Amino acid sequence: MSTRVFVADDHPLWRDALIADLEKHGYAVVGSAADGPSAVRRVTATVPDVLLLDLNLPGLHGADVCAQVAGLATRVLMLSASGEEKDVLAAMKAGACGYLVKSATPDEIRAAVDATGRGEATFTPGLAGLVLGEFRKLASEPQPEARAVPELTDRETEVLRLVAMGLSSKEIADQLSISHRTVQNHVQNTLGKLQLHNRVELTRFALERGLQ
Amino acid sequence: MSGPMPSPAAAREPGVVGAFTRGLAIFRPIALAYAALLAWLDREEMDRPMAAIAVFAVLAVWSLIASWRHTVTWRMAVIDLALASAGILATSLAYPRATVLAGALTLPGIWSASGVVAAAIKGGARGGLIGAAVISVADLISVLRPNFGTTHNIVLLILLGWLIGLSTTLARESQRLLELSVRAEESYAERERLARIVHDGVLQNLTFIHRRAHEIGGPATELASLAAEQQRSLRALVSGRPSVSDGGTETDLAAVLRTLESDGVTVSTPADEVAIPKHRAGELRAAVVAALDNVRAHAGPAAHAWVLLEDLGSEVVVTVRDNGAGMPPNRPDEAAAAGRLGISSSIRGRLHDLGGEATWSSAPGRGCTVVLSAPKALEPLAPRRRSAARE
Repeated sequence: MSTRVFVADDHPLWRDALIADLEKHGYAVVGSAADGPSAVRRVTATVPDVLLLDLNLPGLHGADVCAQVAGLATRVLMLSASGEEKDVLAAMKAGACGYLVKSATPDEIRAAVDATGRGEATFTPGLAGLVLGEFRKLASEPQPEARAVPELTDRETEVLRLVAMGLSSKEIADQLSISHRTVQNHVQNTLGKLQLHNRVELTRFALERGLQ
Repeated sequence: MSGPMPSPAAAREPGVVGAFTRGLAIFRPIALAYAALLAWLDREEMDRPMAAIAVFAVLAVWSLIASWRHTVTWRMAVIDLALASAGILATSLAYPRATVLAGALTLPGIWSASGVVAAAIKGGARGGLIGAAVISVADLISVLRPNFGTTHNIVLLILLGWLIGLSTTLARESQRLLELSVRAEESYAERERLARIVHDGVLQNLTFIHRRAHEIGGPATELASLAAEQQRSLRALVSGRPSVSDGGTETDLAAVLRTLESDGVTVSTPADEVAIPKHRAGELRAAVVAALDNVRAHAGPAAHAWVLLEDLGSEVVVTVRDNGAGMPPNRPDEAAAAGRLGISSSIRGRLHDLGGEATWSSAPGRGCTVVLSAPKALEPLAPRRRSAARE
């Protein structure tokens, strides 16, 4: 069965080209949207395997779209024309599964869609640098006790650094003498911990603000 | 334009100055009435009451004019001071000399403070002090030998002029800063709006052209890299936010390094600012540029380079990796020995000056990795934690 994809992008030329390319290669494009609120509505209605989401949609920001579809089985692959660091990081924390810049080739985009469909994280070197920085920041902040902050293992940090330095999963596997699958798991885990931390924060926030 | 516009400076006088001006308008007649009352009670002492009546008549006319105008100008301050001084000197005409020397009240009494306040409103602390000095001199001339009352009045006048002047100066200064920050905020909002427009339109189109031209291939590849180049510089232009530390001594190393991004160079940084002293950021940037030049020169035409910035709290680490031809491990030293000082001197020297170090690792065919690490500041004994400062 082919992967069911939803494309949310406000740039018509880009959206049409992307859809045409995906359909040509056998993906089932189940819908598209040009703004945030309708993306959320239609994705909720169609529940695709993968949502290809532009970071900067009018009406609702990428991170908010991610948060609103987080309960669905749909996995989100973020795309953006520019590297707005904080926004990308916010979207990943809100539950996106991967991130690509729009200058990626169609082959790269399709490979990322496949990986996202399998539940694998797609990291650009830029995103790896952001996530690495985020964990370093968390580690340096004074933590209130009894607050479980997931830390990265040394191996996870090492893998993330290598991703940030532009090595492919295969190159990383060769260099560390581990399997390609293990590299994927490490990357996956870092993203999981980042999102877990975000949920812990949100819960704590909710508890402080009125769920006493 | 039909009428004279209020000058922008006058229109934007801070509230405190307006309050002082209104207060002064009320103060003049009341102070004059009080001084006249005191003189009336003392009328038995006078030899020439007509002199006192003349003084009060002039002061009354001027007080009404001045208070009616609801404003303070330099000219008014000068008239205030001149009339007060004349009134003080005329005290010796109205009273016998002995009474004046014994410490009688001057005819204008506390009305003399009007000129001091007016001068302070216009000229700040300096204006207030000058005004107080003028009245003090008139006081001293009229009695020649200062008695207790004279000294007392002089001290009060000086304090009055100085404090009111100081507060108008501070009010004007904070008004100026407020306007500056409002203006900065406005221009930032405008910039955001433009960035949004550019982002939604031009950048997206350039990205699209870049991608399509790549797909078409052949001669269109040139168009692709041109579009990518424009896209990058435009993005740098619209996302270059005016940093808060602007004008200060620190800068964001992450933003500095991101400007090095190009077709063949990917830059990864933390999302948050990496604040370090400006000249250190400049040195680090120069070292990274040297490393990237080296990639271009030696790694082969197809090589891509990745720059990774990490913030380790008290130090920063910049890793520059390429996927080019690589080199034998002792190459940098050979280069130094051969007099090609490119990597060795430029990078090692800069890092050494920063109190950090540069290390190379490479293998033929596996690219080359340069790790630059340097403390954020040269005073490791005073570690100011950024996270603590932020809270």
